[in-house]
Amino acid sequence: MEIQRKEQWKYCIEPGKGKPELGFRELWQYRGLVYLFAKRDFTSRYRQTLLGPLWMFLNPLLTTIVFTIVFGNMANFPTMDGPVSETMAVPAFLFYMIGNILWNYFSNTVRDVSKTLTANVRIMEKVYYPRLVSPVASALSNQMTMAVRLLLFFCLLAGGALCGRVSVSVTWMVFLLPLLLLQLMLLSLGTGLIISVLTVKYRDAGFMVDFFLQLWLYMTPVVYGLQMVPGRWIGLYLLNPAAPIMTTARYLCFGDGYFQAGPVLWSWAVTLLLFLAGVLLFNRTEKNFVDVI
Amino acid sequence: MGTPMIRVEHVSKEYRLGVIGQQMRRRNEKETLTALSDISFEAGTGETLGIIGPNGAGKSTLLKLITKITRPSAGRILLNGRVASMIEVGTGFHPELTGRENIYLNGAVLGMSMREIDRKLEEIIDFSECRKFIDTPVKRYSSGMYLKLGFSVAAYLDAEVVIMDEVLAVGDAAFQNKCIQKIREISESGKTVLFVSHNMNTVRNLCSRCLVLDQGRLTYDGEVELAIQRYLSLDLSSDPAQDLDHQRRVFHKTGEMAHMTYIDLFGRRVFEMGEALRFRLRYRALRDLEQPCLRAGVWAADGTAAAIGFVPLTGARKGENEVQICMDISRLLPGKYRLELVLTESDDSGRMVKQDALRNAAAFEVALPKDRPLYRAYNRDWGYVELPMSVE
Repeated sequence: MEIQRKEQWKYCIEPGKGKPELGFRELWQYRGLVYLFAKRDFTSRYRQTLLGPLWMFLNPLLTTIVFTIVFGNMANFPTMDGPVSETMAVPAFLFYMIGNILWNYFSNTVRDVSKTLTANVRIMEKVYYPRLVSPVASALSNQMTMAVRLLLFFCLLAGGALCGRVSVSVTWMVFLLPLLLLQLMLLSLGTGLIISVLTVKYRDAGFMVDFFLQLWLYMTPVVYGLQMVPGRWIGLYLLNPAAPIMTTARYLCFGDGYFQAGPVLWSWAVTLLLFLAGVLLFNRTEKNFVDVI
Repeated sequence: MGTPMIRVEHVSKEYRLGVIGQQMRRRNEKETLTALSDISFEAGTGETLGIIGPNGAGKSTLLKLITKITRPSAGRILLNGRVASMIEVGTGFHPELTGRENIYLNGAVLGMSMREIDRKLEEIIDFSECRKFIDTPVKRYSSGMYLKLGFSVAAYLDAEVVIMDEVLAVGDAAFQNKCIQKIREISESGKTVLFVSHNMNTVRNLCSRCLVLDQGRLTYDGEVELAIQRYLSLDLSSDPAQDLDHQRRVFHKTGEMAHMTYIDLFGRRVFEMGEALRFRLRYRALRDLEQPCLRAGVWAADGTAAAIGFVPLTGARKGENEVQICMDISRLLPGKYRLELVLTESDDSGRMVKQDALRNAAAFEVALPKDRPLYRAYNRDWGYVELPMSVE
């Protein structure tokens, strides 16, 4: 009888420890808000700067130049993922640039997402909207920045190829890149959400993020090519879900390098696992977090 | 009551106290604060339900639970429609964005779809009276305009259950009237409105039913007038002689060198207009008091202060004291009042210290005088005191 009664009602608010929810349907209902938040993030980022949106390009260009000088010329890190092929010649600059753009997106998104609950608490304790809206919006606004930067990258790549400075064999595979970007987004969201949940109770997690990301950067082939990793360690090395993303991205853009189905599938599996775990944990915490924060 | 829209079933909410991190070490120690305990009520379409109670009674917590900002510790809330909250208008406004952009942002935060906002945009702008500034960043708005715009967005939400917390303190008198009119429209259009306010007249004007919360418990659910009386402790049915020793003290910064223990209105609760109020007061002093004074505030049923009286208390010695006081309330208009008593002490430098303060020392009623000329008609909206007039 009691159960029947409950069904007459459309919504039911119960204590937090209910069954796990993904909340994607509610997120879809609030897609307008996701869009507005992402737009607000994106447009207000470069306000009150002299160079404005130019920073979007300057940032990766400057970092890439530094990378090329420090890691490429001074440290002489290899910029190849596979055995050197005769026909291909990818300048170190472009090699660093693509890795840099992707890693920048990844680390920024992890950092932004991990702060969503603490940064938005003022509004979240006043009004309810699906809490997932904020992290997803930050991921999307970073995605927009990345898209613009990738455009610059492809312009340079095409320009280099036309001048004959770069010889790459770009195939239809390059159209798989969006799939890779989606994976990168899911991975950064999952990681960021898990950290954000930890930050609610223990602010220590917030301080750990930067250190953690720096460590992760060194374990990922961004400032060096996969070639630098000794052969017997490569299996262990590729357990890092971000590593195959970087090598595959370069493989898709340059048509050469390292590409194996095994690590890619493994990386996808880890990504999905982290993403689902992140969302479930986040939704569970979100219900009562204004009491704790 | 129409079809049920919201049902709150045995809802409780507890907060854990203490600092996080320290809790780990003393986990078995249970320090919790019960903000709400075992609240149950139901409301249907077309009902405007007032929720009143002193600060800290749990009103805001209740609204936070209904709007899903935080979850109950026990019990459940069943809803038959969307909930729109106007807990604090203008939440989520971004100072850099224009009024128009903020309407979209705020509307989306409150759960409206883009299409819905497109459709209502013009109406919202009109209602807000901010059309001239709608393309200006809201950081240049006056605080009044800011609130007006916030209220307007919330007022056009298409939800079946609307929750409002003190939103009527918005804008000037004209805009406030407009808001009240709008809320009445909302409830007449068949929505369920939950309305939290400290303004008893607004509650009286708007609500069809009223809940009283006190220290996390639902102490009354029913007729508005009775609920207000209950909240203001104007319950005239209780004994006119009262033990004050254990009554809750709500004031801060009292010296606590004196403690009022007992009041007796000599068996009366109702006084005819023109009569004087006499009462006997006992208080305990922890030492001899210097220049002690009793301040008696008369508060009317709508929660406003109506009048004030002072009397010096001579010979307040250490220990138990008893005084008999006469207060001339002959000019108070008919109605229900409560007496607030504050015992002060002052020194020669003019500094005054509250030693004890009681918000609800006693309640009394002033009745219409039996024989009065017909021109002396009284209306609750005309004030609290009649001033004597004569022709010269």
